[in-house]
Amino acid sequence: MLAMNNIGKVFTTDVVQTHALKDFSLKVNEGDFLAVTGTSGSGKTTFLNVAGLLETFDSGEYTLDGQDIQGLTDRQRSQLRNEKIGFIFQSFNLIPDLNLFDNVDVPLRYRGFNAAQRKERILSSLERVGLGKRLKHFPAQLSGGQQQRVAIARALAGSPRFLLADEPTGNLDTEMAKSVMALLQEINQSGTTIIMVTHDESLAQQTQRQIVVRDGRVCDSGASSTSPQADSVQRV
Amino acid sequence: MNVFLNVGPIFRALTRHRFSAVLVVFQIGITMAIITNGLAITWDRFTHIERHTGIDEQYTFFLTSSGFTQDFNPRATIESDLRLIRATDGVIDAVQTNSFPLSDSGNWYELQTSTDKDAALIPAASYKFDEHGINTFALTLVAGENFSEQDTLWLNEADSKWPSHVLLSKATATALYGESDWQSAVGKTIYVNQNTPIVVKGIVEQLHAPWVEWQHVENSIISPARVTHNSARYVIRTKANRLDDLMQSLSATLAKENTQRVIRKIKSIQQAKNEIYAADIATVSILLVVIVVLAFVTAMGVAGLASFNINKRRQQIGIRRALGASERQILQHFMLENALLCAVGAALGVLLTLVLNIFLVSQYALTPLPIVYLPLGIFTIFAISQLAVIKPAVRAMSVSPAMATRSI
Ligand SMILES: Nc1ncnc2c1ncn2[C@@H]1O[C@H](COP(=O)(O)OP(=O)(O)O)[C@@H](O)[C@H]1O
Ligand SMILES: [Mg+2]
Repeated sequence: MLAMNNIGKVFTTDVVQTHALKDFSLKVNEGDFLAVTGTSGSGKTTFLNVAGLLETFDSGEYTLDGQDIQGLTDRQRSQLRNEKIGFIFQSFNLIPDLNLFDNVDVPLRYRGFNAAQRKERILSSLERVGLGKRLKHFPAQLSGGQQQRVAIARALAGSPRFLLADEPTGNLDTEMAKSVMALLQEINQSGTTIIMVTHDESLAQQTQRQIVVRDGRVCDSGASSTSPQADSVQRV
Repeated sequence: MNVFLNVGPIFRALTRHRFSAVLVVFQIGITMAIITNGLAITWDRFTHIERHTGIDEQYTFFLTSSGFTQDFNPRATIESDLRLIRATDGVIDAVQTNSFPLSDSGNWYELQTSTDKDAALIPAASYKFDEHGINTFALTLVAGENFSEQDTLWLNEADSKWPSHVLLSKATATALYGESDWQSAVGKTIYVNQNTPIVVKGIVEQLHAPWVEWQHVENSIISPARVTHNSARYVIRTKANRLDDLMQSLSATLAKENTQRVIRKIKSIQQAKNEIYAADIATVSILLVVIVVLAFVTAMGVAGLASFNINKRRQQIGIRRALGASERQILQHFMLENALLCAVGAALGVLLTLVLNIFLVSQYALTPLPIVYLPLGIFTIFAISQLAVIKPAVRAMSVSPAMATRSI
């Protein structure tokens, strides 16, 4: 479970102070598929960065999987990120100098798995996204949709509890976006909690729950009309 | 935490940027070859210059008295000069001698333990001075005894006569009688120039030949003799801190004492040494400057390239942080990447070091590189390049994980 209570986040530059998050409160339950929408600059990415421990916050409380985040060292935060959170980015963010195998391997090495464990996880997660035969390919040799699948494989390889996605389909055409969305649905069905930031209202509609962020606050929260009831979600 | 965590992927990623990798590798290899050989030459020359000659170099000077008149009496002059010098306050002792270490002039003979045809010929520099020589040069008698006054001969310049007794340097005795038996030389008869028998009276710890580059520089033989000649060289040892004033006052006194001669070539042993090694000292200084400059340039090159690569990869660093790398692991990532380049560079460096050394040995007759210089060179180049990469790597460490989502 992920719980944020009155989180505040201020960016201070020479010129201005931006209150990117103000009294931001949210609870995400185990197994949820949450869509976060809102206009550009409303604070969606900031929320995701704070949730994913990529950024610190200035006030409020944040508990991730029962752990109070405030006051953790860099090493503890990095370890939590590594074990509990998978990231998917709008621009895929694969490492261009590494082939698919090595890309998926990145978080597993930081996790301290041995070579055999890593290999098994890399192969099965690439298999899962349908790229099991492309281990030696480099990101530049793949289409955008394929690259995003590799990124998803990389995010899943460590079996995280949470998957955080910032505009995962933002750089993809409709067809590819659809298939990536289907993959995320399937991942959610097997028990991974997903928080997805998106512009795309139709994608947001497909999730179980949707929130709208405006000026750094959650301003509308409720179940998406077409999503199944929370308690009917399959757990693995 | 495993420092070598990412060796495989880092290495594979480097092979994707061969051009810049090869550039650093070559720079590191070439630098290592030059620094390693430079250090070896520097150390070799330094130890050569700093080695002991067996005499007190610090408070000893010499001067030449040259008689120029028809009725100049060399023997009487030497006798009265030595009496005067030895009685002067601040003088420890003095001798008249044909030569001395670092003087770069003298002669040598071949010694044998018997007149047998196949007995080994041992070359040894020849010194001629009286029983005050041991005290004047601060030599250490390690076996037998010093000459007595009666042992000392007066020889003409043309005289090829040898005295009945001599002293040997320990190295000479060792060359004649072996490592374990050098002391047995005392009392034995040895032969000079394959025919003249003389008895060894004592052995001194060390007394270098006059020529610093001579292969047998440790070998010397001392005859108790004073050669009368219009020009006489005196070697004078003074008490601590009296060297400078006695160099001036004694030469003035001697000149005044006997106006039938001039006093010239007044010099301390230290000055003679500096002159003899002037070229070596210049070489070593230039080499050291080259080594330091080269180390600096290479460090700048390594740091510059690392900086460039790290700036280019800021987002990648953010991604790694997002995927769970701690700050320390990012630091280690770049230190390790540098270490890998350095390892390949050092492997090339070992090869280039040996090639350069073979070239130097063949062209300039230098001594072959002692093998310890290879690990020393490898260590040096690693230290230089790891130190150079610390600053950029620390900057990489401070890249925020949010870089993963914020840029582009
Ligand atoms: N690193 C930063 N420094 C200063 N201001 C920032 C920074 N990151 C985001 N902001 C500001 O915070 C606000 C929220 O940004 P963001 O969370 O990226 O919005 P969204 O993802 O919803 O478009 C914006 O006004 C943005 O300009
Ligand atoms: Mg955004």
